[in-house]
Amino acid sequence: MSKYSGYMDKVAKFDLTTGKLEDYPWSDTDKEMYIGGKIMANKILYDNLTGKEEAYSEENMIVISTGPLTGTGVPASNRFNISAISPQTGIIASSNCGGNFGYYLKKAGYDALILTGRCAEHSWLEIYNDSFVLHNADREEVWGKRITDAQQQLRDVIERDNGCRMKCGIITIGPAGENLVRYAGVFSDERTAGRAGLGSVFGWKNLKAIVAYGNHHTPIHNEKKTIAWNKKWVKYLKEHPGTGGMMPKLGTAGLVTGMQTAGILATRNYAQGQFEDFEKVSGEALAEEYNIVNKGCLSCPIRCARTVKVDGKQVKGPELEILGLMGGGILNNDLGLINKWNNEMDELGMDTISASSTIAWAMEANEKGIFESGLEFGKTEGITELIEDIAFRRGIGNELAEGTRRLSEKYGGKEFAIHSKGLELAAYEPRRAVGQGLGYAVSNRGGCHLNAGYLVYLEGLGLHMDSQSTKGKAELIMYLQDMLEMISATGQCIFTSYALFPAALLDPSTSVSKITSSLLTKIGPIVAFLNKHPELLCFPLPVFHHDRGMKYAVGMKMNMGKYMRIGERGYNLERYIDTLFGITAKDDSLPARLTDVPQDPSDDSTRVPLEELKKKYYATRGWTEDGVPTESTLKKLGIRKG
Amino acid sequence: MVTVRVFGVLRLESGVKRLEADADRVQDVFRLVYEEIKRVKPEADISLKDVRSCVVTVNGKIVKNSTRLKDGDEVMLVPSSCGG
Repeated sequence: MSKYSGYMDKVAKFDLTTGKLEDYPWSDTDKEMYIGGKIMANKILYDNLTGKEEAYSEENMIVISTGPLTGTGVPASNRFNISAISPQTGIIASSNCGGNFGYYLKKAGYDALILTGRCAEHSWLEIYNDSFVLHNADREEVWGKRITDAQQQLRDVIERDNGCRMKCGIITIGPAGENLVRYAGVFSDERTAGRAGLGSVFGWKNLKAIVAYGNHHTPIHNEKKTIAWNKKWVKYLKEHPGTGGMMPKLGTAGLVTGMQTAGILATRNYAQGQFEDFEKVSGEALAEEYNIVNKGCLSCPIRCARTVKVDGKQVKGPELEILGLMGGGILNNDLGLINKWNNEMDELGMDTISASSTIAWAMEANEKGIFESGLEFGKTEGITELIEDIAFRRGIGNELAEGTRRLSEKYGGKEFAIHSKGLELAAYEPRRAVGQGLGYAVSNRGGCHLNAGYLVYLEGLGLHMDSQSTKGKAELIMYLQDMLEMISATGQCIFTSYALFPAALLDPSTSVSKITSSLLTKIGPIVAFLNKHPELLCFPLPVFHHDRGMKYAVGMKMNMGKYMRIGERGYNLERYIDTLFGITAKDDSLPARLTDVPQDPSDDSTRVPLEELKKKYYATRGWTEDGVPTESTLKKLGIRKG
Repeated sequence: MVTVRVFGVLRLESGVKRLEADADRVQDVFRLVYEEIKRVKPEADISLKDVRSCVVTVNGKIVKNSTRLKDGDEVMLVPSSCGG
């Protein structure tokens, strides 16, 4: 029995081919080293994969993992992670998700699920305490359904079979996953494990959905201290201008204006960084004209989600990404259409970032005469139908379902296929935030802005370090990547990290903000030293609540230093697995548009000097010049294949 | 006269989106915007400090508070933003 609370102390391995269920060992040492969430998933994949496996194969494992804080009531802590080999990138990808599935997986009694094999027929998996049952998804009329309808149908089936309405967590794929769209997602309520196409791994395995429910309780180490600490933490989050101001009132949509200001709003397939009509597709316009109410994931006080009306129904509203990429990204200023497309992509079950970026590529490729799509920048007719065509792989939708990497390999146009390692970039145009550009390129799962470390927050959205300088960027990215890695592994939302920046720092009129912003490019050596010696960060910090959350709820000794070290371990483990799948420095790349073409033709600094930045990053990380974690780094972090 | 566009939580809380202002420098705009906010919605929980905490652009470029303005300039007040 584990000495730690927070965990259910049970990991299930289920073979979809044979129906065999077994316990997967996960010791207290594993918990201390790998915590949960994506770091736990990566450890499991590392122990079981060789690097030769393919995404669409029985050998590909799906690992669904919660964190030790999931289900404890700690603020914003009910997230879970899905990891597998991605059909977009061919390497390991982790995709994080809110909603309530993580909470109910723990109610069913499990910290994580490992799924291998392939269902013989279209299926959905019911998990009720110790019982795992695969049901025929055609007989239950679930296969083929859109996300909301599928979830409703499954709830009805559970109610029918139990004789009463049962509270349960559901993850499901939509038609996009069923039809192996390379960027299909997995959905929990209205939230998405959207990136890297893991929904189509479910689809290949004939697994439509998983329903989890039960009557287990997540143990809490010191309930009194946890509750008291939670109150302080929630108060802090609610009083912070980001987590308590902008996020609940504008959502991530509020970033559009800030990005426009900073010149990092990807426009016309990343040809430009500002969109003339940005205000029409901004968070302000969304709040004033469309938003009904903001919503949040279970136990979250930030409540960043929007709801809007589409075709008379109240549905989830758009996040920043689709506002950027289907707004300025394709020169569209109709916010109502973006709301509709967002809903379509959600209901059909696909990643809005990759779908939007692929559509933009197709517009530019059509313009240049290399791919006849009929699509044009600024022209919106037919896009709603195209989104459905992608999900069902009809007509050119069948081509677009492959994503920008495969399309550009087939037709040309690689220089404006905006992806890294096969995963399309987010809406932050990095030529005016070169650190973000580095982050995109070295991000383990591909062109992810969050796995990148989200340095853009220091390069113009919150703080204002010199966005074109290369100084200090590698060191700060490492620090942020490791921090976010660990927050995610505990089951928490990475948006809680904003509270690490006190309000005064975010007010550009204050001396402390000005001084901090100017020092950030100079403190690289100090950050590098702290990255190397995180054990020095052993004292409590008023802005850092995360370590006490672990201490009180889980009973695990924690401080910022230990926190960072575990995050570093997680990041390096994922990278090492990537190298087993063949990733090297050449894959840490960006399209030529971003590295070779200045955003401002009169200012050569407005492009990403990637090779210079990568060199520094690899050295900071303790990797070889080819981007491989060295033996000494792996040994220091305790990562070793037996 | 310059055109001032207001964004973020300031705009949502006050309803003030845009105003014409007679201002010589950026720092003069803050008080004018604050006064307009208080005129339109006196109960809005917005302080002069909140207005001063915005990033300011003039004609699309981020500027310092001491920047001089000229007739016809377009000024944007943008609070810090976060997300993911």
